[in-house]
Amino acid sequence: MKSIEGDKLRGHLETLILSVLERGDAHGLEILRRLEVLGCGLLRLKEGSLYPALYRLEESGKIKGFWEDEPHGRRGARRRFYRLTNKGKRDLAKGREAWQSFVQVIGSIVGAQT
Amino acid sequence: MNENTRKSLMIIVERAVRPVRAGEARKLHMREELLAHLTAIFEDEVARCNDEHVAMQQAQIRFGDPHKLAKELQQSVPILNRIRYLLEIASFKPDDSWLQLIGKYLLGTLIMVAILVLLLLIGLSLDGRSMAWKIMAFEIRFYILAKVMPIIMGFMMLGILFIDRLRKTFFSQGSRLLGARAAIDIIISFFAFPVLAFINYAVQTGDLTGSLKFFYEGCMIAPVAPLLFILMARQYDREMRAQEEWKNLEIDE
Repeated sequence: MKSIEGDKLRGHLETLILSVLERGDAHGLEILRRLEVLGCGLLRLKEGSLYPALYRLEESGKIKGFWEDEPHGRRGARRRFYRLTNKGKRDLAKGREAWQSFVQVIGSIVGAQT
Repeated sequence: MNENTRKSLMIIVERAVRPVRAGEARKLHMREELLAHLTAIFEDEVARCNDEHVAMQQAQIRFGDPHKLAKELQQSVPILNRIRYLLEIASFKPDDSWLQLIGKYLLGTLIMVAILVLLLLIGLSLDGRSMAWKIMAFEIRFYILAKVMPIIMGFMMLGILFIDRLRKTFFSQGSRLLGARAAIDIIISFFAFPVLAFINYAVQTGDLTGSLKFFYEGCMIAPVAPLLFILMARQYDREMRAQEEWKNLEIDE
């Protein structure tokens, strides 16, 4: 199976992040690792691009960020963890619904064999 | 990880964050978070290939193009933070030249008066009383505004310069705490509020004797003023240190 590059994920990245955070709080790298595992290693995302999406989600109140108390290991920079909010949970439910109908409609057209 | 490697990682992060037009606090947050991420992927790569040079290249590839990331980060900045960015540019900074300080003072005073006059006009237009009363009320309030705003802006400018002076006196790295300078700063802090209260009232009313009452009232908070100013200087010093390390990086490719 071919990998899915960052540009094709545009528009879906925020829902992907919300669904990954449904499994528990995580920092940026952990979110990417979960995406990689769940996407069977086929999601190819430039890692920095995750953060603008996280900031948009946080700004809209769908996730809530919090800093770890101490820098992790000897790195000197603190990691920021994210948690799904109630608003985020509602938005995720809507996103799932929209995705199901998208797959159904487009799948019936593109997937149909003549 | 040695200091050079850390600097190299910071430069990659700074290439993405420096061009973003956002408030300094937000940019600092971006920097710290992106640096933690980039450091983690660099360590990942070192563990994989055991070669720091190759690991740095791989980490950079995984992180993505900083210029593209800068654009994406810019799009994630909300409108209020963009306004904050503009206000930060327009605000007084200790390293501004005198010309810049005067320019900012005049422009700031003009804008503040214009905004307040606009609000005053809106308020008066909603008032049901006669036009003659409105004109009189406007004249009185405008007169007060035109006198008070330059004083407030002046206080703000002097306040920032003074906090920076305190920062250098009490917190500057490498410089010895000079007893005489520290004593002068504490005396200035002590008298700051009474003197400002006196000047403010005297300029507004021209009544020097009546203004003394405000001087005495200002003296009531004077004993805690030095502590207050020093705490502000400490906070300011922390912010400056956090920013300086990033601002001093040379990020040209």
